[in-house]
Amino acid sequence: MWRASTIDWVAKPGTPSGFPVLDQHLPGGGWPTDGITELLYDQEGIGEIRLLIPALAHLSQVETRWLLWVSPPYVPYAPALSDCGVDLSRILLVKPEKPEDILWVLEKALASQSCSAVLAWPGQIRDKEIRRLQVASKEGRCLGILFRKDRASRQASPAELRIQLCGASAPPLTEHSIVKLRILKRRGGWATEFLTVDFDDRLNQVTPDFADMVVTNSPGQDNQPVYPSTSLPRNRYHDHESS
Amino acid sequence: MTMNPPDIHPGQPLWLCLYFPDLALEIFLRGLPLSTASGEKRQKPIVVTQGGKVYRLNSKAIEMGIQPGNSMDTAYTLSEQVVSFERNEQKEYAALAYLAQWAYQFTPNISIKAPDYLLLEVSGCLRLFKGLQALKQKITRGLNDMGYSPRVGVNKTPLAALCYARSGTADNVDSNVGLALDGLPVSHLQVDGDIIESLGQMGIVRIGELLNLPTDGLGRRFGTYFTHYLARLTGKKPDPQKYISPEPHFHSDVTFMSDVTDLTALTFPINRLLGELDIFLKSRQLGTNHLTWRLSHIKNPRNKSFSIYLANPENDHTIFRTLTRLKLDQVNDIEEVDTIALTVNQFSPAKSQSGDLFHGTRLQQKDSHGVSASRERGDQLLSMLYTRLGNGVCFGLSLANDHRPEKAWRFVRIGEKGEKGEKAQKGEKAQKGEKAQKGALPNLQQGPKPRPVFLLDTPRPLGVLDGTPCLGGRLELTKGPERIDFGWWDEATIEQSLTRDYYIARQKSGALFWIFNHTGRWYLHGIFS
Repeated sequence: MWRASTIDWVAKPGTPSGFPVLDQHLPGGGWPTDGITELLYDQEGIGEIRLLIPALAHLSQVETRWLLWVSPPYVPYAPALSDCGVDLSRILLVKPEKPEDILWVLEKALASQSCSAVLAWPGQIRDKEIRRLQVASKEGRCLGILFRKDRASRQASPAELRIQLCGASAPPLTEHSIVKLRILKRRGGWATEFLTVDFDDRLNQVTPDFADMVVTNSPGQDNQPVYPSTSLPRNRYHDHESS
Repeated sequence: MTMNPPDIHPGQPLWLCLYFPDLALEIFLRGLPLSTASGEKRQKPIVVTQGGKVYRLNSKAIEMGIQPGNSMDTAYTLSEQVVSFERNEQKEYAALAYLAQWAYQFTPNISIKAPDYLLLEVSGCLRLFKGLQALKQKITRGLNDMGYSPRVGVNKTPLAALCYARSGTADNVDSNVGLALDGLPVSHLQVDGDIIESLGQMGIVRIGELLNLPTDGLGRRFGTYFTHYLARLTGKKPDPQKYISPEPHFHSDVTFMSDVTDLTALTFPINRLLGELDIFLKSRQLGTNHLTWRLSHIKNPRNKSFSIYLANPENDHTIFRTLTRLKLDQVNDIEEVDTIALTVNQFSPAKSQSGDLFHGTRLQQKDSHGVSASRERGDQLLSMLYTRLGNGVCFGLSLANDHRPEKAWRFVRIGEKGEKGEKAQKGEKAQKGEKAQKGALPNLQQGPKPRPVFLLDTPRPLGVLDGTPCLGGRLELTKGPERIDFGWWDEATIEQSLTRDYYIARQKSGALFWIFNHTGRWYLHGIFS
């Protein structure tokens, strides 16, 4: 029997995503070095960028090319990126005013060979346009990432890799936050089931029980919450106390 | 005044005079493509008028029988197709000054002589340009390409060179000035018409005859100014010239005969102007990162000008051309144009490009070569973005030395170094070095103070339900608080507490937000995207 997975096709080694669970499902063992990748999700804040950051940090350190952000919904926060190891001097932000300019910037940047990755929030975008971007990114050897709404997952797309993201709450008493994702389209493989990616970011640290927290507001004392003895050491969070 | 002719040695100055008899006309004709300028059939009779009278005219107008000094009525009677321009002396001088700057590529010693000639001292540059004839050819061809037709005269004194240019005599390189001028008619001297006339009445036709006359007598008859002029002409007295200084300023324009309504028709003049800029930049080893184009029409006082900014100074006209075309595609509110001008005021030294001696072997410095090539491509991308989107849309990020979340970063222009953030960046680099040594992929562990990937410009107030903050349902606080003092030193009033308690909050969907509590109210400040 002849299977698509046995085709004599070797994926180009990709940029490791930093998440072994994801890497083993991605062709080439990581994010592709060129081509368009779509991330499909509805709720911002579920980790759509955190999923990329280890790879972006890696690219910013080994390459001298730009990491271009085209019309992100908010300003990327420099200290957070820097803390994660992203070299800020590689970051370039562009906010075109007109929608047609966004596509123009994307195509030029992807094809220019001067960007290692281009992140874009294009809003409405058509198949034909994605195909052009795909060609441009091959020419410029550039990873193009489009952040799109989840409803686009029902339509076909010429993008090389499509990943659907779904927010998930980490179980209590675990340290890290998680995200669930499903590869909808990839080279040399079928769509996958939902995978759980563990972020290793300590954002889900055990929370003290707020019901036990006593706030004293008596005049003699300073205006600070008092924690139950089981909570985290206080000093850790109080580097800039006013009193 | 001594009667001994001065010794002229080969090391002595040699003057090249560029005389533009038709400058008043040529400044208006430059807009025509060369093919039509020389193609006699399609040419229109063109005259330049001064005080209502014809002052200069082109060959077609001469053919029609128009003569200098005719009134415009006469000219229109002879041909109804006549195109006339009012003489513009200011523009003539500007053109002359521009040509002087252009000629700076040949010699640094250039003097502007209004209204219509330039003096170049060329003794020092003959060898570089492989002899006088080659130099003359190069200069003439360059000027012809720009739409000017000079007459060239070479002699040993400035005034004699002018005489030669006006009379069209072959160069004098070796012989004595007096001897060289001997056969020329006195009418070529640059003196009052009265003097020429009285000389004619005296029976003196050639300059040689004039120079043989005793100086004292000439002085009594025509004044000391005239004898002084003769002394400077023959080199018996010094004739110091005021040389131009190479001002780094480029301005050149092209005027069209008829209005241009189609912007694609501007390609030819744009290429011509960019070619001139290219020579200007290369001869001075300069580059520029800011070009200004101006499109105007005589009837429309509202000029349209657009600027092109480059990421880094360049002197390659192919890049300028690409960017200009890009910018021109965006221009759509122009109906008609009759003048296009290019101005450049900011210059910086051109980057030196060291070529590869063993071209094509690609053995050495492969890495550094690749880096510079990718940087160059990055600059080109930036230049294109600046040109199409404007100068203010591309930014980089930098850290700033402040603990407050809003002030811990700032925008930087690309290429600019963060001032305050430098220290922080150094720290970051040191950190990076450590990480690189470990050789592992950087991880997401942010230490005790996690920060969101996106920060809102201004905190957004959140709804509250039973004391817990809400954003699409109740938020669950997973981590915190982290207390950050909000800078009483920056605020005028310090009555209320300026501390904020930051928490990481989780939506039911799993999305993580950075929220804070400030005097009992909740605000959304960041998103852990």
